[in-house]
Amino acid sequence: MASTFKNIFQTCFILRNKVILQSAEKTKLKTISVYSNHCLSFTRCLHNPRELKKFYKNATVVSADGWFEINLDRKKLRTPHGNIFKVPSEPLALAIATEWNSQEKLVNRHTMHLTVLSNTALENPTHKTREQLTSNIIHFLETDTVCYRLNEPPELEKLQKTKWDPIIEWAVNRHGLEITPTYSMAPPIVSPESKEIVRRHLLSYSDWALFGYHYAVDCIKSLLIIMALVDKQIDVDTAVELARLEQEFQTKKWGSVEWYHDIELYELRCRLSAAMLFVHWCCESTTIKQKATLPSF
Amino acid sequence: MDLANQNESRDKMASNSYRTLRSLARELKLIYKKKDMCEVPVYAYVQEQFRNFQVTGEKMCRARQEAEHLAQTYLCYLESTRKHEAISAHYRGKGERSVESSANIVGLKLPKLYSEETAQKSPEH
Repeated sequence: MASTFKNIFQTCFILRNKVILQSAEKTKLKTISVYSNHCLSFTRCLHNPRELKKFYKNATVVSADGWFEINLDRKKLRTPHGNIFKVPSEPLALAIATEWNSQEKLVNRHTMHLTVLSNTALENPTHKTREQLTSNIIHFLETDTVCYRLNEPPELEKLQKTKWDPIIEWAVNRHGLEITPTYSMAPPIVSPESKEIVRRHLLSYSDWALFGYHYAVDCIKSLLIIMALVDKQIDVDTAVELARLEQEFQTKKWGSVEWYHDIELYELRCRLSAAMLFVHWCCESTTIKQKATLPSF
Repeated sequence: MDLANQNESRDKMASNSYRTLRSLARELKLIYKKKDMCEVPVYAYVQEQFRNFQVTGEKMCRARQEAEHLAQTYLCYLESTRKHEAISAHYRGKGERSVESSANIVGLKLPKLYSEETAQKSPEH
């Protein structure tokens, strides 16, 4: 029974044909939509798989077994694999509910970064272990944005020095890293000890926070800026500005194009702030748990 | 640091955090479109956090910085999501152009196409 519906589901999805939709009996369609509960509104989805109309009025937060779930009207929000969506921290759940509430006529899933991050952390679709995640993050240190410098034009060289050097200085003082910027094609010099320090630092984070960390580093291709940001030395706007330093220098000279530069700027800010909130809230919850489990002396 | 100076910097910090709170309230109001914001759980949570950290903020402890940094990050998230949506909606493509309008772009006009109506009308003329 289930397999036949699965077939119908697949063919419908591949062909995206209205005729099939119309020929399918209404009762069958209902059963399909129950079966494929991972696609919250399947029949609407079929019409145009990219668009999902807003099918609920209100998103609310419910707590269950120490986790927080999202209710869309009376239905539970589910992950892409059909499991119940849940997050470990209350503020994170509230922010995700706000994300769903802020949708107007259509549900733009690509702008809901906190939901996407939680889905990734819940289901781990790429099956990454903690070690793989940390080594992926450390990989960015070997080609860190703030370590690739330019000699000309001289104004840009000066700008990079004044803006990027404090970040490296901070990393050297705070974590004792040894890292030398490069002015050529050769990658910057990072000592193996520094990598080990960063690895130990990263492994102190919870699994969920590591997913957020990876997302943040992947956005702006710089581990040092993200480390300073997580440590609250700089804010998100500054971090994005540092990451797009050369581009900003060039747009000041040659003019900025709104439909490219501004969209990119806001998108980076969105992604980065979402990742930061995610890391913060996921760390916070783990520290609270640790306190609760302390044995009484 | 003398006392007057200290008071001044404290006032500045307090006004900064109030500004953040107000901007957060504005952003949330844009989303929820309700008159009574106290009914919205997110706003109630934000206000509670601000109230909790108001006392410790006087002592400049770490949690204050954390709370304020977090509030600013959330504000940045809400603001930039809204602006990003607005700009991309403004520049979003409206689907494929028709042959006529694409010809128009380069200053060309299409010849009149044959249709039965015009064919029927023409002998009358």
